Amino acid sequence: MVKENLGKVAEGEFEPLIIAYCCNWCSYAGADLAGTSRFEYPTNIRIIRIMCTGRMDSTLVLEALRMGADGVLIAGCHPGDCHYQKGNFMMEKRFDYLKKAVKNIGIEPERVRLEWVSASEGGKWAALVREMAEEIKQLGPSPFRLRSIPKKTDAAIDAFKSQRLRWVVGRSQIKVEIEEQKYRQTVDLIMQVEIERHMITLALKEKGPLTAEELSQITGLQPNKTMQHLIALRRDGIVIEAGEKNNQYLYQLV
Amino acid sequence: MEKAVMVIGGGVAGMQASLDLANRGFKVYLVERNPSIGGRMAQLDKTFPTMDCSMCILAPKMIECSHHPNVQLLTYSEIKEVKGSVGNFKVKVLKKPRYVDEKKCTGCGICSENCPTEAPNEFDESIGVRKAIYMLFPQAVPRVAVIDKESCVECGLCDKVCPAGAVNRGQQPEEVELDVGAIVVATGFDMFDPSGIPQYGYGRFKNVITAMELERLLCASGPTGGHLIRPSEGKIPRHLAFIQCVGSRDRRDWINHPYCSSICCKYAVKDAVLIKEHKTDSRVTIFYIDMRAFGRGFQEFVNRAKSEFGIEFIRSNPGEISEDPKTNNLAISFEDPITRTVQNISFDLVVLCPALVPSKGMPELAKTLGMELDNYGFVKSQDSVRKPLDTTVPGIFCCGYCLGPKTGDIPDSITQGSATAARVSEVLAEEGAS
Amino acid sequence: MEQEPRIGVFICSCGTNIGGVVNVPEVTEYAKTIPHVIHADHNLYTCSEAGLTAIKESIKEHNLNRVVVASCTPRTHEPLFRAACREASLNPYLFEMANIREHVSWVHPHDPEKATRKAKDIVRMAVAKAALLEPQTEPEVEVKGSSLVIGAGVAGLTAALSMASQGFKVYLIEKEKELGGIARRLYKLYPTLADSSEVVGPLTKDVESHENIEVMTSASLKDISGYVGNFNAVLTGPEGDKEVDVGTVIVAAGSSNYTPPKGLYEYGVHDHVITQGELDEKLKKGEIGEPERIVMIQCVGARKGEIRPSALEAFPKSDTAELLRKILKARKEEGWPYCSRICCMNAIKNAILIKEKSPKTDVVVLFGDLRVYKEYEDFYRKARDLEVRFIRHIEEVRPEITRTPDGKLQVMAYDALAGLEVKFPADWVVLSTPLIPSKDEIMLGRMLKIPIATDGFLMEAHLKLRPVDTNVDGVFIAGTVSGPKDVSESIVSGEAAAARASILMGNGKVRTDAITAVVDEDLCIGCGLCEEICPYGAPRIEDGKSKIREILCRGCGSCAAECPKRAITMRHYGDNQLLAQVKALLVPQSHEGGLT
Repeated sequence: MVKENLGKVAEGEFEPLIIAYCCNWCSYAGADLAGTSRFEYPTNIRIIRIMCTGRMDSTLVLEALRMGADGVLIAGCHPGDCHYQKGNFMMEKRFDYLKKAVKNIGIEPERVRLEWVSASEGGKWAALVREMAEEIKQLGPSPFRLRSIPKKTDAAIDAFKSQRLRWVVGRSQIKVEIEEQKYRQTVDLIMQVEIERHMITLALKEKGPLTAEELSQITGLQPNKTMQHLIALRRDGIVIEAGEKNNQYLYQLV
Repeated sequence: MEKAVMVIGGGVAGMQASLDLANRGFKVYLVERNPSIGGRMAQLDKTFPTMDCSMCILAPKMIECSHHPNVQLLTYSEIKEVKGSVGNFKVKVLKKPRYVDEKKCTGCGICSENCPTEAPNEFDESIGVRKAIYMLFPQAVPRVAVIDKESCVECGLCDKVCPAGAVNRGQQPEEVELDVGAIVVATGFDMFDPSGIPQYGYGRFKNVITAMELERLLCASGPTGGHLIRPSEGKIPRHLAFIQCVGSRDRRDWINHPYCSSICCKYAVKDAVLIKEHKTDSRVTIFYIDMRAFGRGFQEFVNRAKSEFGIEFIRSNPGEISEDPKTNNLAISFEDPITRTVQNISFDLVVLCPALVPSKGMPELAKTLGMELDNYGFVKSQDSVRKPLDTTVPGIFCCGYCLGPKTGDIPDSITQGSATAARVSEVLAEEGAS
Repeated sequence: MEQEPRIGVFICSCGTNIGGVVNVPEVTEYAKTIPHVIHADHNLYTCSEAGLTAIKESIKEHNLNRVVVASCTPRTHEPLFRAACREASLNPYLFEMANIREHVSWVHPHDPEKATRKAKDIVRMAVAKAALLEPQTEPEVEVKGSSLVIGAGVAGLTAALSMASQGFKVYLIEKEKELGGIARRLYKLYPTLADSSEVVGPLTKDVESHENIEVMTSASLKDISGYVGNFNAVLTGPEGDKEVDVGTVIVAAGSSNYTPPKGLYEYGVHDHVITQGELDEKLKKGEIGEPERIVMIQCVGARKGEIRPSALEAFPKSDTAELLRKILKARKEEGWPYCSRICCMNAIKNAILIKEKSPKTDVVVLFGDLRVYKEYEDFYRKARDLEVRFIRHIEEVRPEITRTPDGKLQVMAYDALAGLEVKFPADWVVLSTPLIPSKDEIMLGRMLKIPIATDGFLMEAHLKLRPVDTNVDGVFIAGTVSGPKDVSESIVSGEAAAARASILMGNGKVRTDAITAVVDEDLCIGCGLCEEICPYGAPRIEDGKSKIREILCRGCGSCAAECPKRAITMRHYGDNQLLAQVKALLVPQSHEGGLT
């Protein structure tokens, strides 16, 4: 199907494919109501039922984008209406970071949306799909469909799977001991660092052993930054020296 | 051991009462006059105002009834005798012969395919035909064929082709005796025959049909596969009219249904919208006296019917319909509410919305049960405010449209079905305690 | 996976509901080409007995170990198909549904080609998930034999009494000092014209004297936690807080009477402009006397839907500009979109009461539609026999209040029958206002997580089929919390809610969804984040590892989304199962094999 759609891109009849993760209690029911009320909307959306937006691991969105989705919609209950009390709030918090990551990997942030649609809002659902499909049509196909997927994407997915990033994001759901603004900045920084480090480990996995200079060329990171990451990765027991080349050390994964 | 309960009538109200009672732990005998449970709701295409497909939401309930370990279905059966009182009723049920062994029949339908004899299909309001050996409708529960002896010519072909050897043309009526603690009456309604109002030409003019006939014509599993046609020659009707209150709110003594039937305004608007959805260039006009769109979500639905679907509403009670013998088109003459003059508009198809009336067997059943009926022949409540679901006989309760138009629609029927289950539980709990 | 997936796909035409838009045979043929699909077929109605039998037989015949049904929404039909699987000895959690009706044919009726393609996508996605499904066992939960009824109007009283007489313990709380709700303040009830107290009195007495019912007045629900069978509610009243454990909850908190804004029809300005409810009270106290004329105006604040300018055409004899001004004014009149169902009968009832006491009083009822449904037509007839005047004004043009030259109240309206403006000097003007959602009801809805419908009332689980059930297992609704009802209808809904709750309590146990969290102990580092995140206290760190108590877990999956070690997965909604759907959609050629 993707191929079919890609074919159509060339002919200028781009039909976006949008994945919608809908919570069972509100938004999935809202989409059902749109059906029973016969509210028409474009065919671009594919719904995946989940129990609660609280369940949405950020990697589920990043993976979908990586696989070429033109857009991802996460739809849940309105604040205060969550069937599980606060799942939607947790998603909302997570979403801040997720959106930054999306931008970071070179995807227009507008392609990813978090919306509240209640079980009685069939009309809102239809309008939302209409609006999102139109917006993404304007943006064009996902950049990942047209050119090869940057390694940064895989690195971002890995970063969101890493204990370090997950822990700091997870903590923010409960209680932040320090000033919130500062905490957010720290999480942003950790996200950035983890993505970069995972770019390095991915490169080493594929092509290692490599020198810092080679890594810097592959990842596009500044040489000094690359070196800093290598030092940290070395500390964490993830990389180790593996000989020399052109008067530089070669690094490989442990 | 919990007492058993008998539910008479397998429509949506009776099914709800049965399931709630069965889930509450009572043994339930669900007695249905027809060969299948399902009732009127099974005949409908869509339900208002959510436009749920009626069979789609009903079928799971029907199947639940047939599979529930506490529910015993007695279809094609009638109540013959009731003795005793609350806590201890003795009921004789007559199981009419199906001429097909219920235990052997698999519902494969081979008999019907081969049967050479046809009869009007009553489930499709006699628009189409069925065979003499048949199943009431495709989703029938139980899935067991039945032979209609009136049209059967005893050719014996069904017997020959049945792979299960289920045909038993010598089957005899069977009498079953049951002990039950309480009885729930849920026998539903019939529809007023509009030929009682000769000015509308029903029965004389081919393109004047009833709302129930329309439901069958709109329904995908109906005689036309959901394609709306004019009975006169099969053309697609483009200009349709609905006439409300045909026999309802009518005091004339040969009609005598002074009540409002409660559902006609709502289903007419629904059908009008369905027609517009099917063929967007149709014109649909509804003639009405008062637009009684009460009930949840319905006023909003009427607003949409007007603004979004362009349904026309004319507040007038038409005096007469006449037919153009050449085209079979129909002219409705009515007093224009604005100009106060008599107007004529020509239509391709006219749908009459007849009064809902007590079901045919009601007086006899009431006599058997010893319960009173109200002025119009519906079941009389012990107290229409305080005990609306208690009949005049202790231990006999009532739900659904057999109570008359106080049961406005499907949710009302279901609510009442559940409520009678509560009443039965209460009364039998008291009986058990004393 | 122990066994290679063998998937059967059943595609439903749903009459023409799906088949009229989606090319069902084409989708069926397509389904046969999807990896792991052993068998694919289509039916007119898969949910019919025949369709279910076909599924069961195919499971046996083709030795299927997974089933996909492409039809309508799982929210209504999943239980049915799961039961069919169970009957064919297939674990019900090895079933997956593809919604090609609500999400395809009903929303894309004019684009069959794209709709068919979308249906294929959805089927492929469902198959991909099905291939990864695993059998699950549903935990069984105990249901306490006690119920909390919130609100002691006729619906709540009836529900409480019904459950109590079936032997269940009932806690009944009422926010006011006295029991009886709205009905207590009513004078006479239609159509019997019985005193409201004749209904409310005995009900209240029976409730108060019942040994199984504990009544708390001037009380409200402060907090509630738990789940079906095991709710813990904190009730707060004049004597402080009280905690109760109940198996079920019935919300019967009622609704409010709409109060017109000050100035609307001079309400709140002129003291002889009152609402129908206030008239009730005045009739009870005998304060109306024998006036010359009373004018009632229906639908004040109700049915404020769309207004058609075409209504203008109805009044060729009137000044069009003036009419337009009035229509615009009516459009701005605040109010609720729905019909309040009971106001017509209420007006007729009060008109009859006035006429019976004072036959000389001219009672005029101004209405758009008179919705005297049911057999209340007789009641309407009685009013007309008593010479109550019913005058239809066109819906779009509301009546207006003016003054007579000598300063008396006067109502001006457009008589639809005469096509003329009519004027009625009036001693009293009575406004029929709708029942509207109350603040309490909305607060309770929020607290209990019952969705609120667009009309502002609590939403039932299914508008047609489950009128007293809610989305929340074990919580039911009765009376006017789900929209206007009269006394008799409220009583019936109270009985119905009691029946539904009693089933749960009578059985004493209920199976809950198997969708719960599972911890991979090898990955878990015992950080305790899950423990802190979970709203239900399901995870607990024991011996340095997180242990999920299945009974408490409601399956939201927040812990899985946040677990730093990704050690928690959700049953039936695992990352792999969700991503398999994404992948099946976007990368169908590599349908098999894991993700890279």
